[in-house]
Formats: sequence, structure tokens, C-alpha cells
Amino acid sequence: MAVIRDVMPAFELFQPATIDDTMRLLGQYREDAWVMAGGLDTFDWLKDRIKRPKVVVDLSQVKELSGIREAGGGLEIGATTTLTEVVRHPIVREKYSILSTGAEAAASPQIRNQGTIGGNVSQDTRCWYYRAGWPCYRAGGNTCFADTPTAINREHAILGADRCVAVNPSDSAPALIALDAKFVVRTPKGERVVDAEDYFIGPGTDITRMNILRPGDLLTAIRLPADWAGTKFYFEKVRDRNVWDFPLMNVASAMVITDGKIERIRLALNAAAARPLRLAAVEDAVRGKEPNAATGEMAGRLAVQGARALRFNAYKIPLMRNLVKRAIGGVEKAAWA
Amino acid sequence: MPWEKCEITWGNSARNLPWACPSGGSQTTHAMTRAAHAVAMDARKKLQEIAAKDLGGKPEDYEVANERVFRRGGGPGMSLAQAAKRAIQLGGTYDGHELPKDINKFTVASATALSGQGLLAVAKDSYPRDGVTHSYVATFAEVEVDLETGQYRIVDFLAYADVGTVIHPNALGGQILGRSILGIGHAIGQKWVYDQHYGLPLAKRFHHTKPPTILDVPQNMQWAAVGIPDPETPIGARGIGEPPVGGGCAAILNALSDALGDEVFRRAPVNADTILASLEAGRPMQEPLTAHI
Ligand SMILES: Cc1cc2nc3c(=O)[nH]c(=O)nc-3n(C[C@H](O)[C@H](O)[C@H](O)COP(=O)(O)OP(=O)(O)OC[C@H]3O[C@@H](n4cnc5c(N)ncnc54)[C@H](O)[C@@H]3O)c2cc1C
Repeated sequence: MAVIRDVMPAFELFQPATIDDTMRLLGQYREDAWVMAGGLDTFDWLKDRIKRPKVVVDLSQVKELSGIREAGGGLEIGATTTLTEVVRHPIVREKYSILSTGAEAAASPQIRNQGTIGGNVSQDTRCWYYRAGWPCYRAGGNTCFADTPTAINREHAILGADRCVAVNPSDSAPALIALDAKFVVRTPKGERVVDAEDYFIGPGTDITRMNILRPGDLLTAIRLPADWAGTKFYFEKVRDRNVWDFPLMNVASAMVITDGKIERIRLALNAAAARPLRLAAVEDAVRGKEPNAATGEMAGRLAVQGARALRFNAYKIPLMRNLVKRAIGGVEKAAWA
Repeated sequence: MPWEKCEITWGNSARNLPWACPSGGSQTTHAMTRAAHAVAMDARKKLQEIAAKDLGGKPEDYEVANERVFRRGGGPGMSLAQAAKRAIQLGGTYDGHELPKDINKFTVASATALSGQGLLAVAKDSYPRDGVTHSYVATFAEVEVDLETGQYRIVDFLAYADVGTVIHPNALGGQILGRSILGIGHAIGQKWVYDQHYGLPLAKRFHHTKPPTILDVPQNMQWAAVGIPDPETPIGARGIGEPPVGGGCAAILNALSDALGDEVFRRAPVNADTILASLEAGRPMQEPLTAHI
């Protein structure tokens, strides 16, 4: 398990300039090809020599994949648009501020300057056993090192575990689910548009992947529909440090409130499971109710049903309960504030 | 002596720098200022002796100021440059051809190489000292804990140092606050994590070890010094390197304990996991003094 961190193993590098050329390369090399956007997740794997693709397809020269434009009453964000560009975009800030808040909560300014929105939603889990090259289920082995009586697992899953207890670490993903974003995927058979929450998959579906992309597939854009623009948003990320830190958990909600009652709501949360969770049952339970502390508390209790703690992550259960509560009922001011 | 006329030579043995103590153990200011004082006294003594030899009277009749050595209360004197020239003519101890017996052999080598170029002051710090020399810091912190998320903020922070005479306020402030931040880091996040079964490191990347970031530093962070000269050194100053670390760490942990009660944590760093798990269970949920997790 010793890891050599001197140089990356050799690979063939392609820098296509169009989506069509990219698709041809991905079609030609399939399992042997690694798609690279900002490289922040990619280079960890390559430098640690844990993933050894024969071919790297670098998306940085594909102009069509980058940039934000107005489309269909909403916005279309190219997959290789940097997180910083997303955060700073005036329409994102004005109408989809939950996404700018979520994306801005990710990592550090330097990482956001380089990291892309497509990479952020497609990034691999940060389970430190898996990422250190331990031969676990997700790596194709037959055990989970993070779910043992002696494992160090404060950052791992409380929900949706199936052999693997890793979590999805993306801060933009729950915001995109709350906005009912659509992910545009090019496959060898043509274009597919999927709901944000359906882009992500858990270990029960495929233990080696975090999303629906198969070899040969490319995420080209993320569409934000007009439906949830400018609604009442809540985003909160809990982490150990105030910057440069993955989430212990985050939550995102979009609500439409009519006559003091929740008319429409979308609620999502990440770092609780291997995929960002859309909390549809909670949405159903709070629709028609007042967005207050009592509704929030009921929602929080409902949200954590079925949660199971590992050795060191029991705190995630009250954390999830409280974040869901706040995403619906808001934050109560401290008595002395 | 105006600053412009001083030549400072940093760590360059090719220029025959003398032997110096290493910077460590929070002793640097204490040790360096004593040695500098000893050598300055030697320089003054030699200037007074040269002036007395040339201009009459006793060495004690002369004082050194304004780039000159002159008779106390007015009277004849000479510039330091003139005195240096005389030192070369006189030779012996004055220009470094003769050296004190008690100095370090590296200092002997430096002084020998520099001899004959002017008035050379060479001395060993032989001032008395009773016991050991340490600085102390009393640190105060106020924290605000979010009981729903386990996150907390340091809203106020003050480190009050007892370091003897303050020589350079800005540098001292930098030391006190900088080192306090290291201590804060130990309380709020910094760690090394190993798998306890396999004995292999899990915190392998810099971000896994969670040093405090600029956004974790309290906005309201102050320092002060009592400024009582230390009687065990002629300068009165002591070093301050490490002492603020313990103060920074302990102040945060004590403030957290005060906010949360004694039954929440018995180890550091303290984060959302520790706080929420214990509050939820109503008892400490992490073993005291266990390894980092
Ligand atoms: C120290 C550090 C701290 C971080 N903290 C956070 C954090 O707090 N919150 C957070 O959300 N993220 C965090 N990140 C993650 C960072 O935001 C992501 O690594 C980054 O967004 C990945 O994007 P990238 O463009 O660099 O992707 P890459 O590393 O290039 O790619 C990531 C993965 O996505 C795939 N991929 C990328 N684009 C496409 C595409 N268009 N089509 C198909 N597949 C694609 C790649 O094949 C690869 O598997 C952190 C990263 C680091 C290194």
C-alpha cells in the first residue's frame, strides 16, 4: 500500500477543441480514457499512481463546454465553467443565489478558480481509505475499511450505505438539486438530459461510480430552469474550518411561500450518503405548512429516519436533523444576539 | 549612532560573522540581547580607554554619545572614526590582535580574521543569572457556539504577555499573535490521523491536517505586554516564541468548556463531531486523550 508520490505514470494526452472530437476520443478509448476538467480531483489520483489511465482527455480547449448563457428562460452553464465564474455570474447571483452560495462554499478561492462545475458534481468521494489506495469495495476489492469497529470515519455516511460508507462531498450538488437543474450528458448514442438528483448514484446501484456516466460519456452542461429562480433559498455548509475544507454536511432548500404556507419546496442535502439526497418525503410532509420552527423540527426528525451511525459519525444525525430544520424554519437568533 | 551608518551582516560566514546562539527555546531575545550588551560594554570601555590615553584623565571621565567619545560635562573628545584609527595603531586588545581567553573558539576565529581593521569589541556574556528564564502569557478568549451545528466562532481574544522589557512592539505583537494562532489551531482543528488497526496514516494531505486558515483567525485579536524589566538580565528582556501556543489552545478550550459544560469534551481538537455527539448523548462521547480522529 506504499504510495509513490514522485511522478505520474505515463499516459497519452489529448486536448480536443470540440465536443465532437472529444466524443470520438472517448468512444475510441472507452475504459482506458480519463476525462479531465480542472484536474483538482484528477491529479490527486494520477500523482498517487492509484488510477492509471492510458489516455487523458483534457477538456480545457473545448470552448463550447465553457461559459454561462441564457436559455429557455433560465441559464445553461457549460460543464467546464469554473466555480469562480459560476459564483460571480450576475444572473446566478440575482436569481439562483443558492448556487453561488453553494459553489462559493467549496474548497478555497484558488481551487474555485481552477475547478469546474462539471468536475465539482462529478468528483469522486473523499473517503480517505479509498483515496489512499486501500483495496476496498469501491476500488474493486471485497471489504470496507471505513466501516469497522476501529475505523476512523467521522466524515462518512449515515444513510444509503451499502457495503461502502463513503459520501459525496460536492457543495454545488445540493444547490443544483434544489433548483431542479437538468444535467446534459452526451453519450455515444446521443444526448440525454437527466434531473440533477438522478445524475448521482449510490453503492447499491454501482459501488465503483458516483454518477451515471459510463466510459464514453461526457457531461456537457447544466441547465437551470426558470421555475425556481428567485424563490426563497437556504444554503448552509458545516465544516471544521471556514475555508479550504470539505463539508461535514450541507443543506439546500428552495421554497415558494404563499399566504404564509409552503406551496412548493425542493430540499437536498449532501455528505450524508454516497449521493446527494433529495429529501422528497420531507418535501411532501411540509408542503402546505408554515415554514416555522415547529415544521422544521418535524421535518428534521423525519429526515433522519433510518440513519445509522458508524463509530465516529453519530453527530451527523443531530446535524442533519438541525440543518433540515433550519432549511425550512430558518435560524433562531440566540437569546443574547 | 544613526541607523544609516550601521552595517548589518546576516548569516554569512564568508564575512567572518561571530558565533551566535541558535534561535530556539524562546530564549533568543534573552540570550542575544545579553551578549549584545556585553560586547557594547566592551566597545565603550575601549573607546573610553583610547580617549583617556590620548586626551588625558581617567577612562571613566569619558562618555560615548552622538558618534563621539568625549569628556563628561564638555571638553575634548574624538569621533568614533578617529578612535578606530587609534585602535589600529594601538593594536593588542583594541583591534582584536589580543582576544579575551573565555570566548568561544568560533568567535576567536572570526575576531582573528577581522583583527586590525578598526576597534574590535569582543566579549563573552558573563552576567550573573539566577535560575532559568521564561516568559509567561495569560490568554483570554470568548467563543460563541452554535448548538445546532456544533460550529463555533472566536469572538474575542487577548493574549497578555510577561516578557520583561519590550524591545520591539511590532515584532513582539507578531510573535504573540502568530504563536497564539498556532495554539488556536491545536484547539480548533489541527491533527494527524492514523488508522488504529493498521497503523497507517489517513491524514496524508495538507488539508487533512487542518491547520487554521486566515478565516479561522479571530477578527478581534489583541495583545499586550506588562513590560516589567527582568532583573536577571542587564537589558531586562526575555524571549517569546512558544509560550503563546499553550495559552491560545487552553483559552479556546476553556472558553468552550465554559460555554458547553464540562461533560462535552476531554480532548482536542474540538469540532462539530465532538460537540454535537456529546450534547445529543448528554455525556462525553469521545474518549479522553485518545489519538486524533
Ligand atoms: C483541497 C481540496 C478541497 C476541496 N474542497 C471542496 C469543498 O469543500 N467542496 C466541494 O464541493 N469540493 C471541494 N473540492 C473539490 C473541488 O471543488 C473539485 O475537485 C473540483 O471541483 C473538481 O473539479 P475539476 O474541474 O478540477 O475536475 P477534475 O478533477 O478534472 O475531474 C473530477 C472528476 O470528474 C470527471 N469529470 C469532470 N468533468 C467532466 C465532464 N465534463 N464530463 C465527464 N466527466 C467529467 C473527471 O473524469 C473526474 O473523474 C476540493 C478539492 C480539493 C483538492
